[in-house]
Amino acid sequence: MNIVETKNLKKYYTLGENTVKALDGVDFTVSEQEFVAIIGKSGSGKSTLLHMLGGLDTPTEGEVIVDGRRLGGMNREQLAIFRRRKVGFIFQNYNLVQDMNVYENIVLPIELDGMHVDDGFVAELLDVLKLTEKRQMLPGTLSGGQQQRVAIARAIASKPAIILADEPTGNLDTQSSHDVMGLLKMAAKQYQQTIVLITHDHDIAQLADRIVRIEDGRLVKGGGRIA
Amino acid sequence: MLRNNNGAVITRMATHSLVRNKGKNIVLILAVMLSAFMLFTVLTVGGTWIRMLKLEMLRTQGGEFEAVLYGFTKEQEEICQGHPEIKAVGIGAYSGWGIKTEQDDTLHSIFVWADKTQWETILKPARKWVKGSYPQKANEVMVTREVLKDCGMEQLNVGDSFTITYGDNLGEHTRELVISGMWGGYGDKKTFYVSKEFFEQSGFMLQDNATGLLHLQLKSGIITNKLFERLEKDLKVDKKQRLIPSSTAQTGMVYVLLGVLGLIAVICLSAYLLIYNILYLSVSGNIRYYGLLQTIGMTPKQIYQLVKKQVWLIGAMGIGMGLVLGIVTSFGLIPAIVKGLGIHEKHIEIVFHPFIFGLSILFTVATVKIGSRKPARLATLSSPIEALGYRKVSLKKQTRKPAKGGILWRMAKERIGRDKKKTAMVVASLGISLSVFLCMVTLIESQGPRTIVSNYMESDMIINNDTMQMREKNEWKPLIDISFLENIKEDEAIKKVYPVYNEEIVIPWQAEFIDYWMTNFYDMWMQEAYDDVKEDYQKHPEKYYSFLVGIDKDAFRYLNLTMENTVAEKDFLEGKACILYDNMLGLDFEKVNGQKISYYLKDNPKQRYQMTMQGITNDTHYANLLGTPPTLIVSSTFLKKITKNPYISKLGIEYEREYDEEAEDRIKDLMDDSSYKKDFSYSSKIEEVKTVEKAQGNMMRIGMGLALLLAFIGIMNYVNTSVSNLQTSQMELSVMESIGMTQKQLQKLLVREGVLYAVSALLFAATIGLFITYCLYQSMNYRQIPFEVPVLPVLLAGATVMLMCIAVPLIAYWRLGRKETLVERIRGFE
Repeated sequence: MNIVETKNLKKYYTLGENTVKALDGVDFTVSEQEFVAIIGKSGSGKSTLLHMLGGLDTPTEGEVIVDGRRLGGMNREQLAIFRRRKVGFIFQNYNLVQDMNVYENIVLPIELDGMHVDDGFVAELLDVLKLTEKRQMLPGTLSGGQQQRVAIARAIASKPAIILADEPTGNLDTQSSHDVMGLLKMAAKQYQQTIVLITHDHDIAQLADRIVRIEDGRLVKGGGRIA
Repeated sequence: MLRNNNGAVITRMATHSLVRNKGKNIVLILAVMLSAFMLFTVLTVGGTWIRMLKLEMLRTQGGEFEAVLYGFTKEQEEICQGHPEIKAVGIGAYSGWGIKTEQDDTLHSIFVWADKTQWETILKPARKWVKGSYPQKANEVMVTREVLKDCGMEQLNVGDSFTITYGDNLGEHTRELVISGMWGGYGDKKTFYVSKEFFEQSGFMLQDNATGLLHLQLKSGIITNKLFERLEKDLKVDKKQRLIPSSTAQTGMVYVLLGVLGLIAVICLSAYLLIYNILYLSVSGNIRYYGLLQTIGMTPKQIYQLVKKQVWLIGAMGIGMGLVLGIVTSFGLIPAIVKGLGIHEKHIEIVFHPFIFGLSILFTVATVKIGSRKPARLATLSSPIEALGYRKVSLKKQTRKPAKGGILWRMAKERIGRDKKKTAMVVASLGISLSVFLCMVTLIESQGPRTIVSNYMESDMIINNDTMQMREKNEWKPLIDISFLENIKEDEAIKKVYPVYNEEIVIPWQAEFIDYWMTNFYDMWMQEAYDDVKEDYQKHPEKYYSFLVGIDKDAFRYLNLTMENTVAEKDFLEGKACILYDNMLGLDFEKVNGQKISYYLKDNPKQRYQMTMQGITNDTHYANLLGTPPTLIVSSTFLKKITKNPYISKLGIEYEREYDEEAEDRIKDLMDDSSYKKDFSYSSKIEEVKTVEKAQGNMMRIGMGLALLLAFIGIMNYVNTSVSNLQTSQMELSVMESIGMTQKQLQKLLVREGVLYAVSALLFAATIGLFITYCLYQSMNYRQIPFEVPVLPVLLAGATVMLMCIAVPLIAYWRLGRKETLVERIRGFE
């Protein structure tokens, strides 16, 4: 069953007299618990696609359906609530709240939703992502890999249906990149989550179940399912 | 090493930067301009006020002196001459009074001898012109046009002579006097200045209270309470002598000077906060730019110079504009403020002293310099690494225990606690403006005209029978008689009347009490000693008559509450007990209480009365008729029993509605319709309030203007901090939004942040502000009015601050975020 579906998705920007087609009619689906990597050159439209899937940006034309809900019909408020319940974001530069410790960062989306924090689950998550000892540390004192693990934990903590990762290893060295990706994949599998990952690193993309290539705002054939 | 000549490029960069950050720099220029303007205004007001006060004092007292000693000994004069705090000592001596000339037989002039210091140092500043010279011989006088006119001889000139009959301590004399000189200017112009020889022939002695006056010119030019007390002690001023400061306004000068200093401190602090804040935020916002400059080879020293140059360009513009604004507005503003501070001169000469310009510039420059030091240093600390996109991580704190409480409150606290110093400054800035408002409104409200002006027993009007000031009873007229009283009582707008009755009495000599009274009375008020008249009093007590003062039950009850002890009402109403008027003698109540006193009416010596004195008062309301022996306050019912239709010397009137002008007009009409119309005098609460309001009206406007200006600075501080905080945390907020924080939650977070700022500022005002207000209030509370904070204006101000603190971040967020999508905002910071 498809958890993500886009139909003829277009996003055009106007720059002076020129129109930039960031996305130009993308039809794209992701199945439940699937791990999809989107690859493409800089400016190909991969980040725009990810932002559309997460409701961070609005399309010029077309539709985005996530977990059976059309994002186009939602207002800003509804989109925010949709994101904290259905989507977990992982950014290249981690985007952690610097004044909150590891634990507080992880439970932030749950607290924002006014839900009870399942401390057992958070402890398990910390253990899986090897962060138990860092629980009270402030993000600024952690390494890049550790910070990205915190970001992964935060993305998973609210048990969203889909995790959207935008170049999560972009600021990490090779070893840390592999560690982080290994943990992300393992955690997603453990908690039955779908991952859509953007990367320009082919090695990282190889970890995905399926690779989708994007060029000039269009999906290119040649990406494929990895057995 | 050769000096690197890079001044031009740094100046060019500083200028470019100024143009680029126009918005922020306009605010900075405005801040500097406002502080320069306020400092200039405060200093000019201070300078002008002091000059005008001195001028006013010089004109009213006719000389430059700070204290006068009435009746002095040779020893006291010598102490004054050698006193380290006294600059000049002038002697003035009363030498006689004019009686008549051939042209006029009702003269109003006096003869005074002034010694050399008095004439040439003390009185000189008040003279505009002098012709001739000061009298040296016994028959010479120094005159004014006015004194000659009073004698009907205005045509006379220097060298002319005239014949005058005058009186002195030895009797009346008719003598031909020669005009040795003439003068014009300020002071008592109906005075003939005479030679020392003339004075020596007058029979007066310098030691006499009413004769010798020692004028003291102090080195400081200001007489403080402490200095006054020290002088009194050093000069060993006895009970009969009086050392009087030349004007009570003198002590006010200290307060005005303190006020000016306090205002300068508040203005500098507020301006410092604003300048520091804006610069700090500006530099921290541009930290990557400064880092970038370092990567392309600019040294930290050059960056420091760059920031400093920008600040000085801003400072120069702001100071220039502030001073121009100050000069332009000063012609209207400063005279109004100075008049509001109690100067009555029609024409206020504004003091534009270079010193004031210098001081205004100095204070502003110092504020700008201190305010910009740290931000400039911060700019030099930015590393090239930061310029390349890395974020500096503070390693000061490594761990943190999870905080408790609701997520939004927690986050709000986190956010305002991030830069404690900056938060403290914003809170202090808002708190200071709130405190100044609190202070102004409390002082103005509680010391306001309606609170200050309160008559005896809250009377709205007090009518006096001026004929009763005449020495002989047969000259008294029944101005306030029964029909007059009835007419007033009939008016429905009149709530109550309080008549004060008087009757002449004679108190025969009594060994114990009268001796005690008379000794104290003569010590305090008379030149001669009681022993000199004691025998005469014993033989002819009728020559030393006094008065009974009759008051009604209500007035008695009121008076009874004001005294230390209570008088039995029944005894008082039945005429068995009376209250003694103390006449400032400070009598010992124990020596008075329970003493019996006998008297008889001056008109009826045969009938004797006796009463017990049960109380003692110093309330001057009863002091309009006083004799040498004691004045006794008795029940008016009793007084009316022992004498037919006693005269009413005073009538207190209370209206149903306070400040009822129509009722007052009707009473004035009644007085106008009376055949004794010219013999009435009155004091009206409405008229006094109007006078005080007129004087304080300016103060209210000025005080509020100041509070508003400071509030403006406080708000600017808050707006700047708020906007910059939002700017720097926009990415954080966008990230929050991306992980599911809704707009409502974000707004709630900002509201909580605003509430925390407002509550902190309110706490500042409620503690420090209230404490300072209380201290200031008590230092000015001569009338012992209970301290009370006006609730409504303070609540309104508090609510305004709260609203402002909440609204500003919300508006700022709306303005900052409205043009960009979430992705653009996140991307903008990556």
